[in-house]
Amino acid sequence: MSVKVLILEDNPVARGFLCRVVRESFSDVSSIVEAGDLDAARRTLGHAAGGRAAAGADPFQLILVDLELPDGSGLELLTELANYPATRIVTTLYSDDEHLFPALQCGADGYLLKEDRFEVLVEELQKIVRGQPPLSPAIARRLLTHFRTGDMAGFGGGAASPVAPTPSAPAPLDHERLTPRESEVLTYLSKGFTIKEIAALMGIKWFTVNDHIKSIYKKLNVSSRAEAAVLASKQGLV
Amino acid sequence: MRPPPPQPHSSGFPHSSQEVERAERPLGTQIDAALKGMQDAPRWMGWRFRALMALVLAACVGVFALAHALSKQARLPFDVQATPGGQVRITAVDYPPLQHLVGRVLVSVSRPHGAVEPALLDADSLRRSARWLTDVHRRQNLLDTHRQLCLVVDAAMAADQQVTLHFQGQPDETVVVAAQGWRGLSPLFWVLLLMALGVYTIGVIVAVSEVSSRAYAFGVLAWAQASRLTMLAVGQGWGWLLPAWVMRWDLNLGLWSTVLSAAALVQLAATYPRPQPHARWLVGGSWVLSLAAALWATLQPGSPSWWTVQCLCAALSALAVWSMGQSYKLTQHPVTLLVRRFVVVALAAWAFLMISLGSGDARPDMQVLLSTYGIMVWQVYVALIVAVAPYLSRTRPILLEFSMLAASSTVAASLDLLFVAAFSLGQFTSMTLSLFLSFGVYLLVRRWLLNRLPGRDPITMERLFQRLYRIAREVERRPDSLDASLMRLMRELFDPLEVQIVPGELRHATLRGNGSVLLVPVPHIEGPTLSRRPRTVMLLKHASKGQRLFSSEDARLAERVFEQLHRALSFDQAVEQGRSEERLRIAQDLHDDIGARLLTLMYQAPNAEIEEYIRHTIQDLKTLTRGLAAQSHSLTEAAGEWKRDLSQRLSAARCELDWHMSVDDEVMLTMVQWSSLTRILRELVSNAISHARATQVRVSLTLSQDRLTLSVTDNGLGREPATWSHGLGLGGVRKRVKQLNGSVRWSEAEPKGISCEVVVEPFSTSAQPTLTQQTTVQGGAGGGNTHPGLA
Repeated sequence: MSVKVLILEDNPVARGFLCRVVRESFSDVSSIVEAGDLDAARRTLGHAAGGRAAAGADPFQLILVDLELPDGSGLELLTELANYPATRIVTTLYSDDEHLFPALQCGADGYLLKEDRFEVLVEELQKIVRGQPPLSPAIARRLLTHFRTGDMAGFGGGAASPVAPTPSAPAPLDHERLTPRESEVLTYLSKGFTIKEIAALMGIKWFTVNDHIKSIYKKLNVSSRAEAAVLASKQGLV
Repeated sequence: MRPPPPQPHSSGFPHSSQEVERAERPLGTQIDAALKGMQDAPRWMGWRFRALMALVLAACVGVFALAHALSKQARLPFDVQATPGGQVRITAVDYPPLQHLVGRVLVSVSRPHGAVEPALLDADSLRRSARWLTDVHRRQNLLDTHRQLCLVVDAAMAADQQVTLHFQGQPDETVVVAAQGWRGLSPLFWVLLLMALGVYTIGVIVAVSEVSSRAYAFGVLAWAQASRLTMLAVGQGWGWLLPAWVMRWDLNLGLWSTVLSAAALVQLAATYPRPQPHARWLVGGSWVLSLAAALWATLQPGSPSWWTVQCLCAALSALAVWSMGQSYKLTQHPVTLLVRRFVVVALAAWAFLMISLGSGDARPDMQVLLSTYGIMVWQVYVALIVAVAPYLSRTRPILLEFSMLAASSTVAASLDLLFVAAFSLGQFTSMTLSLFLSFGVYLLVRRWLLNRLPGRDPITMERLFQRLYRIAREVERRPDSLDASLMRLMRELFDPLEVQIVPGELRHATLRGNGSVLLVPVPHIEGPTLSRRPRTVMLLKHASKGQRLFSSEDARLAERVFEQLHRALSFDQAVEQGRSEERLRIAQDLHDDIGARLLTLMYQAPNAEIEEYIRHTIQDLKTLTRGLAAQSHSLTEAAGEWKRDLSQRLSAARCELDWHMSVDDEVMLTMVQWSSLTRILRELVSNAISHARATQVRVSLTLSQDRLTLSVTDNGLGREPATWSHGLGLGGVRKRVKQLNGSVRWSEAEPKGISCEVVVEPFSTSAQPTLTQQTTVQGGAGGGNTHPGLA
C-alpha cells in the first residue's frame, strides 16, 4: 500500500532529515508533501484556520507535525485534524511531559524526538504506525494522574505540575478509566522499565503490553475529546 | 446560647457564665460564636434601649429637679468654720458691709423678736451628715439643732427675712436671709451630682444589657454608690442649714446603701468570672446577714447597732477579697486580681478613716473636716472603681493614670492630716503643701512605674522587626511552618497562657471576655503551596500568664504585626514568582533557539563521532533548561526517567543494563541535585559505552539514612584510573559531584572494567551552596532555592 505523507517542519535541514527517515521506514512512499508553516499545511489540507480538515479524494496516511512552529503551535493543527483518517505524529525537541502530554491529548498517535539517531527514529516511526507508540516515564506518570482524577487542568498544555492531583475535578467516566492491568503497565513504565521487562514482570507477552499501551492512548484520545466537548459546552463554545 | 454583645463598648463587667465559659472552651465554637456575634444585629435595639433611655432621662430630670429645689433654699450670708475649741466662727462674708463680722464666734441664731427658740450652735452642727457621730446623744443633739435652725430660718423666710446672730462677747447682729439661687450651688456640688449620674448610668447599662442576678447585683452596687454621691452633693448644696429630716433620711439611706453594697460585692466576687463552689451559701448568707443588721440598725438606732453594721460591712468586704483570691486560683482571670487590689486599697483607707473618726475627739474641727471631705474623697474613689470596673480592658492608660492618681490622692489626704495634726499648720497651708508634695511624688513615680510595670514593653520594635524578618525567611523555606512561627511570635509578644489556631474568618483583631481573650486573624498568604489553606484565626488567652488583660492597644499591635508579616511574605512570594517566570523565559529561549541550531548542526555532522558529541550537547542543554523551568522532582520519578534513558542508549549501543535501586525515604530533589545527578549518570555511561567499549554496565543507586551512593560499573577496557587525565566529560563529573558536596572515586573492577562510585552525604542538605561555591557556580545550578545571603 502506498503511503502519502505530509511533513510539517520549519527547519529545512530537519525536514530533509525527516524525509529520509520516512523513506527508510516505509517501502512504498507515494509522495511526501513538505510544509514550512501552519498556513502552508492548511492550504495543502484544504481547510481554514480553526476549521476541520476533511479527507479529500487523496488523503494523507501519515502526517508529521512539528510542535515548535513559527506561526503558532502544532497543537492547533492536531485539533483541526481530529477527524482526519491519518496517523498523526508529533515531532519535537522537547522530551518532557509538559509539552508532549497536551499533544497526546490533542489526538497525536505518537511522538518522535528530534534528537534521536536515524535508526532509532526509523524504528519508532514504524512502531507507531504499527500501533506501538512509545511512552516515556514522565508521560506515564501524567497518564496515571490524568485517569485517576480527570486532570481537567492539564488539558490544553497548562503549566501545572503533574505531581499534585487536583481534588476538585469529577471522576472520569467508565469508558475513560483504566483497567487494573493498564494501570499496572503505566506504573511500571513510570518507573522506567522497558516493554520487555514489563512483560517479564507481569507474566504476559510482549504484544499484550503493547496492546495495553494502545488502548491507553485511545482512552486518552476519547477522554480528551470528551473533556474538550464538556469544556467547550461549559464555556458556551459549542 | 445567647450571642455575646457585638460592640466592645457595651460589654458589661459581669458577663453571663455561659459566655465566659465559652471564652475558655478551646474549640472552634468560640470563634463561631464571636463571628456570629459580629454579624448579629446590635442588642441595643428593642426594650433594652428603651429602658436605658427611660431610666437615664428620669435620672437627668431628677438631677435638675434637685438642683432647682436646692437653689430655692435659704442661705445665711456668711461662711463658718469650726474652731479647735469646738465652737463656730465666721470666716468670710458675702457682702462687704458685713466685713466686721469676720472672726466672731457664733453662739446661736434666732429671730429678731424671739418668737422662735434660738438654735444653739457648736462644732458638731457644722456636720453635713449624722452618720459619723457614734454617740447617740450627740447625734440627737445635732438633729435637734438643725431642726431648730430650720424653724428659725423658715420663720424668717416667711416673714421679713431677718435673723439675729448672737456672738460670744460681741453685740448681736441682724442679717438678711435669702435664697441662694443657682450661683449658690458650688462647683463641687455639680461635680458630685454628675459623677453620681455617671455611676448610675453605668449601673443601668450593665443591669439592662443582661438579665442575670450578677448584673442586678452590679446594678445595686452602682446605684448604692450613686445614692451616696447624691447625698454628698445634697450636703454640699444645702450648706450647713441642712434640715433634720434630710439628715435622718441620709442616715438611713447611708446605712442601707453601705449594707447593700457590701452584700452585692460579695455576690460579685463569688460569681465572677465563674461561680465558686460554695457561692450560693456565701451569697445567701451575706445577703441575709446584711439585711438583718440593717433592719436592726434602722429600728434601733444606737451606738452598738451602728458599730455592728460597720464591722459587718468591713467583714463582708474582707470576705469578698478572700473570695476573689479563691476565684483567681480556679480561673486566672486578670480582672479578678485587679479588682481585688482596688477593694483592698478601699478597705484599708476606710479602716484608716474609721480609726481617725473614732479617736479624734480632741480636735472637733478636724472631725468636721474629716467627716465631710475625707469621706467624700473615699466615696468618690469607690464610685470610680465601680464605674471603671466594666471597662477595665479597654482603658489601660486611663486605668494606669487612675490608679496612680488614686494612690497620690490618698497620699495627699494622709499628708494633709499629718501636717495638721502633727505640725499644727493652718488648714490652707497644710492642704496646699500636701497637694504639692503628692503631685510631685506622682510625677516622679509615674515614669518609673510605667517602665517597671510587667509586660509593658517586653519586646522593642527592633527585636520585633528581627523576628518578623526571620519568620519571613523561614516560611519561605518551609511554608508549612507559618503557624508555628506565628504562635511563637505571639508568645514572645504577649506571653499568654494559651495560644491556639482555629479555623474561622475575622476582619479585625477583637477582644472577648472583657479582655481575657484576644482573637487575631492570621494573614492569608496566597501562593502555589499555601493557597489551599482555609482562613484561620489565632486565639490568645490571658496575657502575661493570666496576670494582665488584653487591651485594645494589644489588639491593634497584634493586627499590625500580622499585617507587616503578611506584607513581607507577599513580597517574597511576588519576588519568587518573578524570578521563576524569568527562569522559565530564559529556559524557553535557550531551548528553542540554541537547541534548534544544535539540531541543525547535528543533522549536518560529518561523522558519527561529532554527531554523538552534538547529541550529547543537546541533551545537556535540555537538562539545563528543564532544571531552570521545573520546580522539583521526586527521586523515584527521576530514577524512572534515568533508567529509561539509559536502557535506550545502552540497547542502542548493544550494551546490557543492570539497574539496581533502593531508596529508604521518598525525597524531593532540588534542581541542583537533579541536574547534577542526571549529568553525572549520562557522562559515566557515555564513557562506558564509547571509551571502555563495555558490553555490560551495572548502575546502582542507593539512598539510605541520608547517604546517597551511585555506582556505575562496566566490564570494558579501562584500567588504572589513577593515571587518567580527565577530559571534559569526567572533569564535568568531578565538578557536579563537588556541587553536591559529595565525593567521587574511580577504581578497578574485577575481573575487568572500571567502577565509579559517587557518595553524597548528607543528601538532604547537599545542594545548599556555601558562600565560596556561590562564585564558582555556573549555569543551571544558579536556580537553587536558597537566598544568596544565607550560608
